[in-house]
Amino acid sequence: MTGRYGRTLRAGLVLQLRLIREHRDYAIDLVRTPLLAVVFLLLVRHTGHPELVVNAVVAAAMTGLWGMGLLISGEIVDRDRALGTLALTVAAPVPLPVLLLGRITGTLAAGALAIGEVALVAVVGFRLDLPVPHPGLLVATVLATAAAMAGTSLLMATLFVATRTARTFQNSLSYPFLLLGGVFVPLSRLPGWTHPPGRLVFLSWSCDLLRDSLRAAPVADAWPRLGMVLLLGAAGLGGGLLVLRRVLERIRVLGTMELA
Amino acid sequence: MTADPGTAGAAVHTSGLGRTYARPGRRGRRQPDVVALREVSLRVERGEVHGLLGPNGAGKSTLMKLLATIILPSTGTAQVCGYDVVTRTAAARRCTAVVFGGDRGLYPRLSARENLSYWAALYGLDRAAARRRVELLLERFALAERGNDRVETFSTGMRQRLHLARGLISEPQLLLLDEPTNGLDPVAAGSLRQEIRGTTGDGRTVLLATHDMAEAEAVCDRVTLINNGALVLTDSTAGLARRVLGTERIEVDGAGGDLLDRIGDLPGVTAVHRTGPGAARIEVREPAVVGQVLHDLVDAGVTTVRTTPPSLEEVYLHLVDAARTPA
Repeated sequence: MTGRYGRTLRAGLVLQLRLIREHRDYAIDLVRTPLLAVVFLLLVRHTGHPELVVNAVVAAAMTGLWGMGLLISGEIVDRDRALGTLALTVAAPVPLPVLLLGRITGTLAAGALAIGEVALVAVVGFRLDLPVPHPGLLVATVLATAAAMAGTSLLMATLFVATRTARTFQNSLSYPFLLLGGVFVPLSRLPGWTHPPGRLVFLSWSCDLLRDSLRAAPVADAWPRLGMVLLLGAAGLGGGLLVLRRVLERIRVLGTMELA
Repeated sequence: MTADPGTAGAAVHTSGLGRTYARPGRRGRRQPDVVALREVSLRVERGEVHGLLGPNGAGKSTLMKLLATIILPSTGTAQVCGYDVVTRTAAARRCTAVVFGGDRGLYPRLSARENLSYWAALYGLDRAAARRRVELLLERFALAERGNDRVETFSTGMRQRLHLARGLISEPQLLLLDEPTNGLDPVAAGSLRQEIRGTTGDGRTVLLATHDMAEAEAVCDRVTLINNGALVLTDSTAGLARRVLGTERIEVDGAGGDLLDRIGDLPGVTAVHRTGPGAARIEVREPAVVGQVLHDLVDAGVTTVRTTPPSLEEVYLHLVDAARTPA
């Protein structure tokens, strides 16, 4: 990666991977995710519905990925504020959104291990056959989901800069998003009133596509649906960039950069 | 990119700079704003080590944050290296680095080497240049052997040296140091002051905020006194003392009592403090009288004589007391 943006992105990515290596609590979702996979798969086994294995696997992997993205995007700002590095970063000649994206990308790269962990639990732990009838779609959806999650995480991180209540956001936002995103149960199985807001959460499109890519049936409208994932991710990214610009200006006016 | 020609030569130039902070009121009642800086006009020349001296809460850190572009001014203008901190923020950031005292500003669980590498990347150094610069600074600040250790295992002195190394990673034209020796023992503080003085060798400007008189005297070419958010005055450390207290000081050894009495009666001599047998400190209000006093001393055979300005600490206390005393 060369050029100003490339160097900044790389600096953020490397920093984040080093911080995850040193802060074990950052990787808590990598511990929780396989346990979650065990719980979901045990439920599937207990209820005698093997067709739901795909749902269980997707739910565990996406919960892990979301948890990691949301947790760390909040931590980035909170911890940097407490360490005094946020003010110094703002004072550096660096595009802050690109740096944050680099750090979020580092987080998601580590979070991607959750997908492997879940597959390992299913295949090795439960001796399940986990075929991938649509591997191209699976890979494309994972990549699009990671991109959308990066955009959404930037928006979250920005809100945390503005509100100084990252922890509250993290705790209160996780489950509504996971539910509306159809992570545990497909959105189509939830009450009708949840559909409009649910379709604005990129996770709902991602999870449906991931489940479809793991089932043998032909996948209808795969590319438009993939486009929706990217579109909603881009909306999050655009919103994040816009809000970040305003928030930075605002906290420079208020002088609240260093308030933890 | 060109700098503002109006401030050519100045590393820092502020004009009528002010900063207020809003105070959140309870139950919707708005509290009066807190004035942190008022009408500060300051010029710091390139290559100078300039002290910003004042008690806690005087406005030193606010001025540092304004110059570092961390906060915005409420009134007035500020330029660093000729670039306006509001309208030319990116250029101002490229030529400036800021170092805060205390523990803040590093990733404690990462190594010194990793911390410096990160900041090098943020300041646009490519990997090879960053590696060279990091090793050079670790060596210079005697941290090379512990370069791979976590910063959280460092002593306060080591951390402060690392802070300074971080500030120098981009070879900034202007280095802003906010209480860099805070919490250091005298030996470590002295060593860090030497390092600060050494950073100006290649024409770098240092603006040092401190409430430590010894630090300002040891390191600075000129000092600006700031109190209650307002700039009190700027001068060299010696000149400042003379201007404020209006005295020269002559220290003598081996002078007889009669001689000291006679000198005490001279017009313009404000006090003769006996500090030991034959030793005294003579305070003279008029610089012109200093020659007369020295002449009389030498004529009487006294050879151990030296003139010293009042210490900056005395000046500082004098000014702060004056500010507290109602007119």
